[in-house]
Amino acid sequence: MNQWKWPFAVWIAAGVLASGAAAQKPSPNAVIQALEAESQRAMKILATNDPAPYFVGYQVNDISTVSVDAEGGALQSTNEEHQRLLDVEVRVGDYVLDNTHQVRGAGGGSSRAGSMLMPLDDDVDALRSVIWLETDRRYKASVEQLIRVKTNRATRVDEEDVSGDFTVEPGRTASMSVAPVRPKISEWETRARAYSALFRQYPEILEGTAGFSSQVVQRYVVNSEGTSVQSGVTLLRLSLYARVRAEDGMELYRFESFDAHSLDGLPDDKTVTKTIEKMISDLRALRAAPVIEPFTGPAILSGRASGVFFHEIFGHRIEGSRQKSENDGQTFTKQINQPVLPDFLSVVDDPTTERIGDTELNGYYRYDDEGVAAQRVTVVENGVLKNFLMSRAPVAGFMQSNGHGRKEPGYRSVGRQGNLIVQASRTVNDATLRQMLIEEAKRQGKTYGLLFDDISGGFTLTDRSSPQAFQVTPIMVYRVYVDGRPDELVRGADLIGTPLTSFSKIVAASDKVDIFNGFCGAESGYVPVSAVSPSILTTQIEVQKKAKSSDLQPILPPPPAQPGASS
Amino acid sequence: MKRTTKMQRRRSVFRTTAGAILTCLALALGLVVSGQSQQGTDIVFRAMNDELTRSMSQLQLKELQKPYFAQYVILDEDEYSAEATFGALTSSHRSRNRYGQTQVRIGDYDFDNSEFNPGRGGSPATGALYRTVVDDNYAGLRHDLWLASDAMYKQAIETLSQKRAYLQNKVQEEQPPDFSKEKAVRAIAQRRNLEFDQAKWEAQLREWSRIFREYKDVQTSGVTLRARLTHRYMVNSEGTTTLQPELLVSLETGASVQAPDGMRIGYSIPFHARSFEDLPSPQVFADTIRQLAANLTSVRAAPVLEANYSGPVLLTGAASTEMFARVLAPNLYGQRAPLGTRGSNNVSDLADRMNRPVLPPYFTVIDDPGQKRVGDRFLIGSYEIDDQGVPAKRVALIEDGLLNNMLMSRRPGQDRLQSNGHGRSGYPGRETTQIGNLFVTAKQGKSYDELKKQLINLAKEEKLKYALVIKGVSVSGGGPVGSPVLVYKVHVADGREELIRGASASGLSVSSLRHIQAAGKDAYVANRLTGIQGAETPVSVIAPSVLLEEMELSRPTGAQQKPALMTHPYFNSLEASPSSPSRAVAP
Repeated sequence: MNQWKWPFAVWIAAGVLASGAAAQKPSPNAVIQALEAESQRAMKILATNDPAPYFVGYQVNDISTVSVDAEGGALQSTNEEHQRLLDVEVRVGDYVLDNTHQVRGAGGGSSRAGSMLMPLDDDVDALRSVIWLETDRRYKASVEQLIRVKTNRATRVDEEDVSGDFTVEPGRTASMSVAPVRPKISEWETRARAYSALFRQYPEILEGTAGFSSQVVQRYVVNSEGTSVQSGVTLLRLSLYARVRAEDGMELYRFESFDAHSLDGLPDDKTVTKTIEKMISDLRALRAAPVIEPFTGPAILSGRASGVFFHEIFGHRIEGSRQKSENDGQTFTKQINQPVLPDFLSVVDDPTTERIGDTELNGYYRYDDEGVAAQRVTVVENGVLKNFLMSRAPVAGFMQSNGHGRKEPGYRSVGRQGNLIVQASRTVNDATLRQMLIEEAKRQGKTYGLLFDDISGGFTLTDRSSPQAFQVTPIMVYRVYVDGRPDELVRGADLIGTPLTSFSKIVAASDKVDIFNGFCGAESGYVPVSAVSPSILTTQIEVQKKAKSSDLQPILPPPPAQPGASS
Repeated sequence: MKRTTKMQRRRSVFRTTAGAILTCLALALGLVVSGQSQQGTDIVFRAMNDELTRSMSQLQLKELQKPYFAQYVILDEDEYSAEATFGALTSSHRSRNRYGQTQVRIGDYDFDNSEFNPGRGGSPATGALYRTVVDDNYAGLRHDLWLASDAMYKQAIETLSQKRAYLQNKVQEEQPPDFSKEKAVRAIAQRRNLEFDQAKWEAQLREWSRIFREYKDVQTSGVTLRARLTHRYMVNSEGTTTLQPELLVSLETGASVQAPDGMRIGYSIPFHARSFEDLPSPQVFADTIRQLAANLTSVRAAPVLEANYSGPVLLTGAASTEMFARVLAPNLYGQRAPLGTRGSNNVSDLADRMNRPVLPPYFTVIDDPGQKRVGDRFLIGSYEIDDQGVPAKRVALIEDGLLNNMLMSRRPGQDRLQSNGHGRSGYPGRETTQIGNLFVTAKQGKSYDELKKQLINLAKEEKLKYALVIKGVSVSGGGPVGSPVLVYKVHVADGREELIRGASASGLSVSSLRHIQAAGKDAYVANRLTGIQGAETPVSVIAPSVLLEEMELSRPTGAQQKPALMTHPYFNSLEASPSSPSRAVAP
């Protein structure tokens, strides 16, 4: 699924990047007009106060959502919503030291400040009536915070990183509004019903759902430095979910999703039906599969599994803000120009890549949440660490944003991943990779190695407004026996290990890549991301049994689908 | 909104069909039969009854007991809400959801898996809430009922054994039964549609919210409209089957100002009704907005309550009804505390005062859900059958000041074994006792001037220079009257009334109501919502003004936020160039 040759796609993407930052004159727009007027007014009026703000920044997310969910052949909900959310940031102090500076000993955690509901009508007076008071409130909060920051600095040892608090960036203007998406809701309802009904043919499937969603975000970023950027993203998704319960009480599920930027990018009935059939056969097989025993040894991670693996254990560690926060592990902070991965691996994060092959990437955007143009960043080149994913929070040696300042409305931006792409300069085909796994297992005296075919991040399960847990849980795991027996599906595995050890054990990569589209949650909220990777072979991975429920099977068989029929 | 239009179109087709059939049949047979809508109702009940029958006869784990009682509720909610501020719409939302509530009881009416609070974070409820399908789809509904019944049965088995274990080492006190026996009721009403002119209402909201452009001291303001049409399908194993559509429409305006010293004062006025027609007219609501804005403007400039006050207080209008709803009503519920409950949580403070005075002898308190109107005001607390399928009864609670009876759901109390039809919503399987229409009446009611005179006399006795009158409250916040907004000092020397701000009320026990000094001859009708946000229960309280012997009001404590450094941009630009206020881009 989703196979492509990466070098081609990446060069195309680089070409897009060169012209991507071209400035356009924004057309008069009520939201922009209101934000500009209030940012200028606030800078002028508050200048007479001590301390005066040195930066006022606004973001408005104009979000149109449609979602349709069906379970077992019947509609569960249809939702349509339009919201405009205002986020205000007022900074006092200066670029070197301001109110956002880390207060040591105060703990980390989320940067959630909340959003204000803005008028949906393009009425400048009404829009401004909401902006001004929130600006006033945020200014006062920032003044208070700056005092805490300064006291904290005075009473503690010197900080290691003295790179400052905010990068100096040129003002940017751009106007790239996103075309509205008008899904035929009744058609989505009919399709969701039909898809979810397919699961109902199998009594062991306790729940089977299908859902469509579309989200069109027009994003306005205006600040007192002269930035006035209108950009946006469109996210469409078809998601399929089903669960069964094994005889021993273990809950097992399969989740599949298709992401796209336009209605045409969503799959046709045939593709969906095929996917559902595969989910059903997987679940029936899983239900009958033996429970995994704790294991240490060699394994292949498929492209999707490897993509999530890299996103989790590598990608989050090269996000800029983590190099600075003194609460963070800082695995790679001092490793610039040092080898951190095997020399045949390179990693880029490229939000400007819109698609790879036929697959549209979730982490695609042109401007980040701070109004900085997205850039393709080479993080690791031939195993050597080169760069971090930067927002406007500087890190020693990295004094410029590279367009990775991202957030969910209501949070403060930090450096986040967009499209994380793992590339291998030396590859083998899948058959060879499999043979290498068997050889490695033999060498270690094991009777089998493991094949992780699919991994499910908890983030892919629900939309972002729900409370969500985050975990890396392999779903489809096979034992590949050294004696030539057929592969055996096992269930109930949790993948564990430490990052640095895990990286050093990667020995080979396949010539095929796969794409994982999902949503990633961190301190700046949920953002859409992609992880792209070839399958990899690692000589050592550790799995443990995961916790399971002890619930019994339902006492009664499923009820009949028609009144009067016997169950 | 596209979806709404589509849904309305689809539904209105159904309705026309139903209407046509109805007319023909009514002419021919004189019967009321409906078409499509009735078919949908039939499917929902068919799925519920079929699974209920199967659960009652077959749901059994090994040699353990079968359920003795099961109840299914399907709660269908069609909701709309919209909000506007300063002439523009900020949100507009329509949603339709269906929730299933499944309750399974094991044991018998005397002793079952309910009325037990296992502690350690365990849930005392006998039921669970889950999302189900909005289509009238037999298979889909029944599938969800099947899984929910299974889960609830297993939970009930576990809870009952925990309850038995808990009692193993406790000295047994005489306990009332766990669940009351009631007669089966069958009442199935026609389904309804949530229909209204959305574009017209949204234009109206914009127009109303624009009124705040006339008040320069108002910092934040808004107008909200909410409509919730619920269809509650209920069946239980005793044979009760009910469907009662219920529409609740709320129109509310709220605003806030900031005083020169930085104090923020908010005030909101809601109108709740059972139909769009019962809402205030555009002109009346516009007047309400202007009154609210003018009041807030006055409060902003008013002096602060400079010292904590303890003394006589006169409550009028919503301040009085709010006090009865918050201080008296929760103590009129007769259920006992579940086993294992610590403290007096959930039990009336009046439990041991039966046939003794709880109010002055000239007071009578009755709850009568059957009464639909007082004058031209519709009472939103009226209903015929409660959420447990028990017909609502009129209950004389307090007669001549003496506590005479309690409001009951199917959760029995000591000496009160039957429900009187006051089991209203709450968490599934744990329907709470709730008032419907609470009528507080007093003989020998006095005029405002007489009450004020008496207030002054009481203040004199207490050697106070002034007493307080609370005439307006926001129903939000804790405390015995909500958040007081319109509070006046009544000066003992000359009877002058002076508006003040910053007073917050605290400390009023139900036992102090015996010492109410006087009541007015007025009767304020308050339609209010109570309970869990988003699923509130509509109730009505009708009460006269009351003069309390003693109530505490505190002055503001802690430092205030500084006043806003900037001014409202709209009024700012008006002042800068009065001839050309900033122009609005046409929506």
